[in-house]
Amino acid sequence: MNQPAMSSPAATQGPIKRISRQERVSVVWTLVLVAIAFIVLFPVLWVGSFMFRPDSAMFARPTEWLFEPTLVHFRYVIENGFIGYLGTSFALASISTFLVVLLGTPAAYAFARFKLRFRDDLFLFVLATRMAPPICMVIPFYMIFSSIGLIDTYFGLTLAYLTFNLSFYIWVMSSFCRDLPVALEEVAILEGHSRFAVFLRVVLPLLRSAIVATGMLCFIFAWNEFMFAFMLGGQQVKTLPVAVPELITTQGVRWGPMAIVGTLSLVPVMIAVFLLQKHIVRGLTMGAVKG
Amino acid sequence: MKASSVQKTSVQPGKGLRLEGVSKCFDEVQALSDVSFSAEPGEIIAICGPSGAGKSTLGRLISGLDIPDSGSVQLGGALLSELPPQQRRVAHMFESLALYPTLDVFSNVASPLRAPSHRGMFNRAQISDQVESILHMMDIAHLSKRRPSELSGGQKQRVALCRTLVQSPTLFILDEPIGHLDAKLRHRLRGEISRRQRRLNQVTLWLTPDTLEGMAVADRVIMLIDGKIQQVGTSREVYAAPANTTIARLLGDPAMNLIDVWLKKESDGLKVLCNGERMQVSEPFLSRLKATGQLHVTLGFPPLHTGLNETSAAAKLRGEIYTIEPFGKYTLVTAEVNGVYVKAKMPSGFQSSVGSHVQIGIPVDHVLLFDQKSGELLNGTFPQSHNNEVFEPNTIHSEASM
Repeated sequence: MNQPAMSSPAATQGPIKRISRQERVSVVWTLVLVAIAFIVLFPVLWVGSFMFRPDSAMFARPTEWLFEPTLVHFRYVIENGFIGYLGTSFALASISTFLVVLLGTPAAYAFARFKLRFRDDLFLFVLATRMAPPICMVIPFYMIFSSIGLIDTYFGLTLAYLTFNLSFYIWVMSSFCRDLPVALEEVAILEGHSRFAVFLRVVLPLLRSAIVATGMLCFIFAWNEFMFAFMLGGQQVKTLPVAVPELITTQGVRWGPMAIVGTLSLVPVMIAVFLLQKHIVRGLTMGAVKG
Repeated sequence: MKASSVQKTSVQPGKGLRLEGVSKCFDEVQALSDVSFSAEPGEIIAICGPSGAGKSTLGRLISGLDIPDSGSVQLGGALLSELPPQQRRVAHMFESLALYPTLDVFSNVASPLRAPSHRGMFNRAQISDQVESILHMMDIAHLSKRRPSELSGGQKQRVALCRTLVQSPTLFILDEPIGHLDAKLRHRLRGEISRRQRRLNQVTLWLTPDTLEGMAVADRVIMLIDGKIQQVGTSREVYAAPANTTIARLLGDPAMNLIDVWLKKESDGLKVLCNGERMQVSEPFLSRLKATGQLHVTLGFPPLHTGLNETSAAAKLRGEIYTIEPFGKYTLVTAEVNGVYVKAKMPSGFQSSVGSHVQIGIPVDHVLLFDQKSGELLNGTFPQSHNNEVFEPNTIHSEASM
C-alpha cells in the first residue's frame, strides 16, 4: 500500500524499491490506532445496531450478530413526540448560547481591559454563580420561578442556563481578551475609532476562534443539561435528556428507541464540531502559542 | 504661542508641537520628569536615549494613549490634553508594530486612510494610489496580498512604517522605525524617510536608541536620559559639545574616549596622572587644564583623532595594545593604560601586535573637559578649532543584521 509511485524515476530505473523501515513503522502504527479506535468506538457501534435490532434479538444468548433489521423503533420514537423534544433541546441550547455570546463577550472584554471600580469583586461575583452545586440553585430557582410564573417556559429555562454558562463564558473569554495585544486596539483608537468600534472591528475578529470554541462548550453544556430542565421544565418545555427516562416504562425498558434517542442526541453536536473544527482547535490552543 | 491663544477644539496644520513641564509616574517609577521642548512644522526631531529612558512613554503621552501627571502638550494651536486620542489624529508607529493580523498588507496600510481620522479626505482611487506608492517606496509592493503572519520581521516593520507614513496626520511619531531592518535597507530608508518628512508640514518625532541614526535623520536631537531631557541641539552641536559624559558615551561609533585624569602638584611642577600613569602634556594644554580650576577632570576625545606613536602629539600617554580590529576601510585599535581603554581609529595600513607598547597621542584640539564628579561639560573649555571635525554617519560599521 505504501509503494512508491510507478512513474517516479527510481521505480523505472532499478528493481522495485523495498518498503523502507519508516514506511513499515507507519503502517504498524496505523493498524494499532485503528484497533484502539475500534475498541473505543465499539459501544457506540453496538448501540447503533440496537436501533435496527428487533426486541427478540436485543439480548439473545448467544449473541446474534446477524439479524433482520427493523424500523419499528423509529416509528415508536416519532409517534411519541421525541422529534419535538429534540427541537426543544436544540432551541433552548441555541438561544441560551446565543445570549451567552451576546452578553458575555462585551462583559469579558470589559473585565479584561477596563479599570473599573470594584472590577475584581464583580468578577468574583460572576464566578461565584458557578461555585454552588446546581442542586443548590435549582430549589430557589423553582420557588422564584413558580411564584412569577416562569416554570415550564422557554424564558425561564434560558434564564437558568445563563447562570452557569454566562459565568463560565466570561471567565474563559476574559483570559482570551487579556492575551490580545493592546497595541492593536491603540492603533485603532489613534485611527479615530471609538471604543465600541475598536471592539467590533479589531477585537471581535481576533476573538472569533475563541468565541466559537467557548460558545461550542456552552452549547454542549446546555444540550446535556438535565437537572434544571427536569425541575424547571418537563411538561411544555421538555428537552431530550428529560424525555429519555420515559423510555423506562412499566412494560420494561425500551432499548431500541433509547438507542435511537441517544444517537440522535449526538448528531447536532457532532455536526457542529465537524463544521467548526478549525476554529475549535485554534481557539483551544490560542494563547498557548503566541504568534 | 501664548497659552491664552490656545484653542481647545481642533488641531490646525502649520503650527508646531510644544511640551511644557510634562511628567509621568508609573507605580512610583518616574518615567518622565519635567520634559519641555517645542518643534516647528516640518521639523524632524530625534529623541535619543538608552532603552528605558522614557522615549516610548513620551510618544504615548503625545498621542494620548497615556495621560501625563502634570504639564501640557500643545499641538497645532490646540491643547492636546483636552482632546481624546481619537481626535488628535497622530500617526504613531509602535515599536511592537501592531499590524492587524486579520488584514492583508494592503488593507493594513490603507486602514488609517479608511478610518474616521481621514474621513472624507480621500476617495477610493486616491487611497489605492497612495498605498501603492508608499509600498513601492518601501520595496514591499509585491507583498500586498500577504497576511502579517506570512512576513519576516523586517517586512512587518516596513508595513508598519507604510501604515504610519501614508497618513496625513497632525504629527508623526516613529518609535524605532528602522531598528529591525538589515543594514543596507536601513541606510536607504533613513535617507528616504527624512527626505519625505521634511517636505511635509508636520512635526516628526523619531524615537531611537541609536544616537547616530537620530543624528543622521534629524534637524534637532533631544537627548533623553532617565526621563529627563539632558541636551537639545543640532547633530553638530551635540556631537561637538555633549552636555555630559553620559551623552558623550552614546555618541560616535566607536563612542568617545573618556579618561579620568588627576592634576598632581609635585616639587618640580604640576603633573597629569591617568590611573597612576604619567601623561606628557604640552604647556598650552596644561594651562587649559589648570584654567578649569579642578584637580580631577575627565578628558573626552574622539577615536577618529586619537593617534598612536605620533611623536608630534601635544599630549601623550604610554599604553599597551589590547585589541586590533581591521575593518578594511580603517583599523580600530584599543590600547590599555592601567585598566583604562582608549580606542583609536587608525589607517587600514596600521601594523602592530597585541601587547606591544604604544604612545597614545591625545588630540588636544579635540579634547573636551568634563567635571569628574558630576560628569557635566566644563563651560568655557571648548577647544578652539572645530573646523576639521567631521560628522560621518557613513562610518557606522557595527550593523546588526535582523
